[in-house]
Parts: sequence; C-alpha cells; structure tokens
Amino acid sequence: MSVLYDPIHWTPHKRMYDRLMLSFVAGYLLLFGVLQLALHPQITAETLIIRATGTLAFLMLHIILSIGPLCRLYPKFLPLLYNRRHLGVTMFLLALTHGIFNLVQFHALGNADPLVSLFGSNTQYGSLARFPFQALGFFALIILFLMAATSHDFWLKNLTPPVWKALHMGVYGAYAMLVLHVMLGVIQLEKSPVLTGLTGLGMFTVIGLHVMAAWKQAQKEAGASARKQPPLETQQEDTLRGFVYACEVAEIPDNRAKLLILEGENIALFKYDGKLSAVHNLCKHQNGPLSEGKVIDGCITCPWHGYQYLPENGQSPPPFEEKVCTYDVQVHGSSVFVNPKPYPEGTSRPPALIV
Amino acid sequence: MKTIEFLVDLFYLYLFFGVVFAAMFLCRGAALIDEAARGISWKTRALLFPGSVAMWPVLWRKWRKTARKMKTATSNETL
Repeated sequence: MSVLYDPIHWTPHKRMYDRLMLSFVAGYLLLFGVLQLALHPQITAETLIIRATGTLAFLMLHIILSIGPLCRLYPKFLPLLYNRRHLGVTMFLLALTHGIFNLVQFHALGNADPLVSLFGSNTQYGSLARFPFQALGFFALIILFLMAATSHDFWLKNLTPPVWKALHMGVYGAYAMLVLHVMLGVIQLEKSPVLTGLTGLGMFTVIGLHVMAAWKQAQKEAGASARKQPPLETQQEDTLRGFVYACEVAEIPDNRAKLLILEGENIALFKYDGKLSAVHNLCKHQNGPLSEGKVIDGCITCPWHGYQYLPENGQSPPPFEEKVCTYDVQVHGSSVFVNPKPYPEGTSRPPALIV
Repeated sequence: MKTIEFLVDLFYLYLFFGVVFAAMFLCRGAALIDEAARGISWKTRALLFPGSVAMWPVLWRKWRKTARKMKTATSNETL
C-alpha cells in the first residue's frame, strides 16, 4: 500500500515478529547442532550445516503453509499472517544455504560444472526409488527463490495481483517436490525412520488443516447464501426491485461485517456509525476476506495485511489507490436488503441509515 | 549428458541476460513503468534486483510497451 516503495515498511509489530522469528531460528540451529554433535561426534561442519539448514527450512515451510488455514479456523492466529513474507524470505535463505553447501560439497570438486554434475551424476530419471532427489530440491529452490524475490509490493503491483497470487501458489508445487526430495533422500541414503515419520506427520498436519479450513469456509458460504425473506408490503416491493434480503440489522455487530453470497457475488455488508454499506468481499492486495475485518478509524480494514477502504465508496483513503466494487443497501424496519448488482470499483453509494 | 549441458548453458545465459537487464532496468526502467518507483533508494533497488534478474522477459516487455506508449503520446502532442 506504499505510495513510494521502501525496502521494508517497518512497524513495531514487524520488529517484534522478526525478533521472535530470528530467536527461533537461532535456538533451533543451536539445539540441532548440540544434538547432532552428541549423536554423531564425527560429523563435519559442512554436513552439520547442510542438515541443520535443510531441516529448519522444511519445518519453516510447514509453519508457513499452516498459517493460512490456521487463521481461517482460529482468527487469533492472524498476527502470524501479517508478516509472513519475512518468514518466507528467511526460509528461502536457509534453503539456499542448504543448497549451496550441498552443491559445493558434492558437485563442485570435480571437473564438471556443479549444475551439470547435479543433474548428470544420477540419471535414473525413469526409476521411482532411485530418482535423483537433488534435482527435485533444485527445482523447489527455484520456486522458493521466485517467491522470495517477488515478495516486495513492487512485484504485486507490476505483475498484477492475479499473476502474483498465481506465482505464489507455486509454494504448493515446491512443497510437493520437497516432500519427494526428503522422502527419496531418506530412502536412498538413510536408515532411520525418524525423518520419514516426521515428514509424514508434517504432511498430515498441512493437508488436515487445509481440509478443515476449506470445510469451514464452505459451511460459512452456505450460511451466507441461505436466507428466508420476511413478508413485504406492496410499496416496499416496488422500492426493493432488484434487491435481495440479506439479514436482520441486529445480526451484524458494530464495526463488523456479515458475509453475503448473493447471486454469485461475494459481498461484505458492514455496520458502522448507525449506517450500513456493502463492498466486494475480496481485498485488492491478496484477496483477503474483508468481511472478516473491522471498521477502524472509519475505514474497512483487511484482516490479512491491514489494507483499508472507505465503506461508502470502496476506495482506499488518499493517497492510496486500491478500489473495490460497491453495492446498494436498503433498510426496511429491522431487515437489510442488498442489490447484488455491483457498481464499478470505487463508485460512491449512499450508506443505508439504521433507523 | 549433452542435453543436460545444453540446458545448464541455457540457464546461465538466461541469468546473464537477467543481470545485465536488471542493472539497466533498476537505473531507468522501473521508474518508467511504475511512478511509485521514482527516486527509490539504493536499498530498495538492491531488494528488487534478484526479482528483476528472474523476471526480465516480463519486465522487458512492460518497459517496451510503456516506452512505446509514451512515444506515441509525445508525437500526438507535437502534432
């Protein structure tokens, strides 16, 4: 939402987030190092770095993938989402360290180019069990690099939000490749079942959380579209042509919204200062659910990254430029009606007054 | 092995073009395609450098498109 781009738009929350994250990284590396030295006293520094950075990056990827569904299931996890990009970039740097040390230790000491050696030292691409797992790690690292390198708001704006979002969904492809990378690596090089078990547990957690969040969202959307219209007088029927019954005024808490799915439109109906306004539910930044946000300082505030919109016209307050569609709202008695025909993004519509 | 060598060379070539392009893009092109990138600090430019290396074909297309648009607008004003 920056007007001019900063390297990082620091806030006290981001500083705290980064401090906690770096403490976790340092704590993990220290603990892992001590454990490895205790279990394998002969271990070399390079192998220790490869193992520590690889396992930590993979663990952090699980945390990153779990944050989204966790926030949908339990909104108290939302603070973890606000600065997820720093978590992602740190995870990439750890994965990169793991990759570079691997490349140097196993592929840079011969005559061949390190990358040619990486792809050419094991060419059993047709075999499932003997498949070259390092190639999978390389391709996953490329995806993680693309995501980390394009995490700045400059890329969101210039690649356009749909392309940027599609690019960043590549994290699931990277995750699938990394699961295979770890599993094949264990099958081909290790004997201990611990890593296989932990990877299975991680996969089960990530998939389970995504399934639960999708189920909750489906339930919510079913509730948002199933309504019984109250009986109307003939005069009311005329003024309400094109409008659909949304809910009762009392169903919406102050400075909060109700999600509506009306004729396929995803609408957030907000109640604030004795008024009601409706805007499109998806934030322009990363498609965050505006209906789960609050009205703060007179602005609808996205729960994901704090992007703001004025409820009356769906525009971000100046000098920002984001806009969402708006809808007409009417109140009759205690009932709220919304016309699901969207107005162009940023169109001013008078709010409905709660009598 | 020959195929692998060829693909790896192609990868290095892509990176080489990317590095050259990114240096030019962050000096001139970024501000042209995005007003908010005018006068950005060197720290921000450094942060955008890896992405510019990776995404150079997309950015090159966008830069050319914007430059062509500006040229057309200038020649229309002259007329």
